[in-house]
Amino acid sequence: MTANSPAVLIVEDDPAIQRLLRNTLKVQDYRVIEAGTGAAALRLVQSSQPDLIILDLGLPDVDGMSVIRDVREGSTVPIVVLTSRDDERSKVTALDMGADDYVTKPFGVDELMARVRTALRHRLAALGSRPIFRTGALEVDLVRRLVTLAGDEVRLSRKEYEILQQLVIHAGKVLTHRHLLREAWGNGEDIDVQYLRVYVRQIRQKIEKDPGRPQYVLTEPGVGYRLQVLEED
Amino acid sequence: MADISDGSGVQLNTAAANGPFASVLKAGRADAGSYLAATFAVILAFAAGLVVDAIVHAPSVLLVFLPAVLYSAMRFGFWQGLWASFLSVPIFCYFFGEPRFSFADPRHSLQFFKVTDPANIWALFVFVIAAAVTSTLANRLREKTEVAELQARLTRRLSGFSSRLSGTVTADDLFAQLVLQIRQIFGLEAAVLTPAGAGAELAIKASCPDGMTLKPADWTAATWCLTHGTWVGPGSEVSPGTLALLTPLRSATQVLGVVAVRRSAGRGPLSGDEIQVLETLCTQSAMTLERLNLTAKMQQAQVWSETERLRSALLTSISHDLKTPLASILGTVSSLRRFGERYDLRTRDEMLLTAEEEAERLNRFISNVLDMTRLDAGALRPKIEPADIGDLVGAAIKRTEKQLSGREFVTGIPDELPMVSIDFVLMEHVLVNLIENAIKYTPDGAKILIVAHSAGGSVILDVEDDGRGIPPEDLPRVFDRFYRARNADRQRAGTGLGLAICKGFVEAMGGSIRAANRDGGGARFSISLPASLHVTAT
Repeated sequence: MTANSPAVLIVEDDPAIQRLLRNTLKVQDYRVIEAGTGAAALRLVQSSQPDLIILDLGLPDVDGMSVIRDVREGSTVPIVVLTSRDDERSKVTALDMGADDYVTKPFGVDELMARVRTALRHRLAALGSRPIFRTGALEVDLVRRLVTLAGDEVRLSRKEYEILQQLVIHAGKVLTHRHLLREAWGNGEDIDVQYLRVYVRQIRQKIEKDPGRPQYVLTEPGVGYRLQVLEED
Repeated sequence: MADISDGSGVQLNTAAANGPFASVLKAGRADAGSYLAATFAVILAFAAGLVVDAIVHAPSVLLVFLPAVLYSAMRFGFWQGLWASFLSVPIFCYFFGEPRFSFADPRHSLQFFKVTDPANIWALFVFVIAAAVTSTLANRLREKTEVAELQARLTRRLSGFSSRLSGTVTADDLFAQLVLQIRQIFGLEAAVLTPAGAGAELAIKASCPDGMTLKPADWTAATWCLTHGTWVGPGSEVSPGTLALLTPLRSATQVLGVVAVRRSAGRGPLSGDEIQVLETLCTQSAMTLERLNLTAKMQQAQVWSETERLRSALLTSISHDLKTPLASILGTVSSLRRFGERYDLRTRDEMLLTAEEEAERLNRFISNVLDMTRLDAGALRPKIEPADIGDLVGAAIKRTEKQLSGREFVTGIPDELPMVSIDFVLMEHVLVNLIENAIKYTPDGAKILIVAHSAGGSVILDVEDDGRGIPPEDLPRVFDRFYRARNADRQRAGTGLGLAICKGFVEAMGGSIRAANRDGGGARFSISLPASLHVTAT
């Protein structure tokens, strides 16, 4: 752990989970800052400038959503929220308010770290992100708007490409239905989600080896879609 | 005296108080038609007399008029009988008495007419008596018949009321029937008052006519009647106000309410008989009310008993199914802490893996209990939207593929399958439950097939396996809560909640689910879901 190691702010009040997060992150050479309340979190965001925030939405005394909103007012630091199972509405709201991703409790460490790493990768990458995205056999050239699968070109319609492009730009992160509709159609409110589903089905049929068991475009039930990045840094 | 009537105007308490002559003199019919008919009867008798005269000696011919007199008295009344008598004798005298066709009587100079002949006067007298007796008897018979008919009608009414009562299912229904019946039998306004709530505050529960109102004096009387349990009428301690009578509705043990009958301007007080009929109605109603109460209590008791059974099953299940994985986790972890350095790396890893798997199992179990609770509380708010079955199946497979342990998935979802109207998240739970079920009841290496096809306006989604299948005798109960199939081998039994949750969720979305055994062995769960309008992408 050096001064340049990424700093993670943990906003959590349960001692057991605090310990778990702290130890897991430290052992992977992250720097850990802790806050037990929303107010403390906001102060620490200002003073310590963390590279990532892990925020538990279930804190009794803290309204997680307002913390996200307040943080977003002054900063673009990535936020990964911890949510409980079956609360799709909270997940979607958190994402719409500016959170980057979520982890469902109870979680395994693999899932947590995958989200953390993805969020940090997007943060650390330059704003003009890498123009060519690769994962598995899939390659997307964002500049030439060209999609290939194991070297063979895949013909996507305009809308299909827009959607895939969003997923690629935010590779590894979950994108809500609303976000995708907004980016691909320009106005997320008027279009029915079912149109999105139809397009995703078409995309899968073109790029997945088994569209019934997708490897790249994954469904997050009740929330949206995520492009799975197959290799890890 | 007031009468119990259907409008027929007959008194129940009859003429015994009025004396025998009163009944004689009581008007039968008083119209001209009856006199005309009596006259006609006499004429007929006269005609018969002509016939008889040819056969029999003159004085006996007089007797031929007797039937006419009797008929007139019987059919129409005493006065008509009298009329017939006074008609018959002169006619006889004129036409049959010697010398014929004249009223003059040659035998006696003192009498002017044959008619005044003592023999004829005597006959007249006898006729009149006969008329009187006949008409009296006829009246009495008529009266008795009418009374009997009235009684019969009343009895039919009461018995009809009784059978209507046995069919009532609510107290309100009962009260409405009662006041209607009182109105129909007595022609009086009536209302049923019951305590509204735990306190003794009375309120009108039913009245005929609707919207009957009571004066303060009436309410006082009603409250008194309720608290003392005795009837209130003229001459009782408390004045009945504007009402004729208040009767308590009482069962064997308590006073359930008060029946109030309002006085009517055109009638006097109710007679003893009438009060008795009223009491009968009230007693029957009170018994029915008691029956309704008991039935309700019994149903409640049954519901509680069933709820208790489920609650107890749930507690047992939770207690066992929570504690078992916890026991593994706690045991494993504490063992590792204590003896950690003595285990070799592989053993340690195995144990930690066990702890992890048991924790996942616990997670699944708690999720099931939460789902069941949501179902029961009616807290399920399915968000129905068009969804892609392929998408759904892919998501469910992704969630469960870690547990496959040597088994494999085989899918058959056609591309052209229409979208279905479902709540995606709930349906994913259902599929996951079915897949986990299939994993639980099949050996390693088994196949789990997920196929779909469209049928009419629905899409059928089948989750099948090639394992042991479901014992046929258990098939109807397979979706019951806490049903667990008997496990012949040493496999971990499930909670018994998974399939019940599937059924609950599927039905909450407007679909249906069935269980069957496949022809080639193994189980098949078929879910039918409504297809939504096909959306084509542009």
